[in-house]
Amino acid sequence: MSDRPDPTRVVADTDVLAADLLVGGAAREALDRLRGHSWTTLVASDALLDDTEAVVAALANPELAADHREKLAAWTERVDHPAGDHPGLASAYRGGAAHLLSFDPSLTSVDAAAAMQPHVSLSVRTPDAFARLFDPGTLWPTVGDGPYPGTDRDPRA
Amino acid sequence: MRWDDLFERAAEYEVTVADVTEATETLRDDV
Repeated sequence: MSDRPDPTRVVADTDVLAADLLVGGAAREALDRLRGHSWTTLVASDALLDDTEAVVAALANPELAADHREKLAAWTERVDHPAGDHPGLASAYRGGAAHLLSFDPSLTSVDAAAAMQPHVSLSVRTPDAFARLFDPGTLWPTVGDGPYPGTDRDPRA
Repeated sequence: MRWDDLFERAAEYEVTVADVTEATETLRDDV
């Protein structure tokens, strides 16, 4: 992986991916930011998709879970990591992502950030915090020319 | 398959963020 995480590369942990589908709200708002901008990259390992499919199957049904996985597989960039690693953290680390979205307080707390910071430069945020702070217009000059053009794809396609 | 189609199918399930976080935690605790 690169030494410096890329602010356009994001990992959404299983709870956020499942909430995007089953709950909506902040998780969907956060992921719509990424779905609407083709120059952002959602990163995920197979283990992360496995966990997400299992959670959706448990809370809804296996057919919906399989279709959701297929959609996520087409959208995300796949990364590998050792078995047994935390799928969200490891996907972010291996995939050079600057952001990890999670509802898990053990990852999003100030203490967790302090523990991680010496090892990885990763911003772990809840979806509502990410939706508030992730500004595509500020990032645009690092990936394109001219004024920020706004969203460039249908976030619900 | 559009995201909108998936969201429409998912809307029949009354799931909360607490449900999702608990299910994720349970899954990972069981590994």
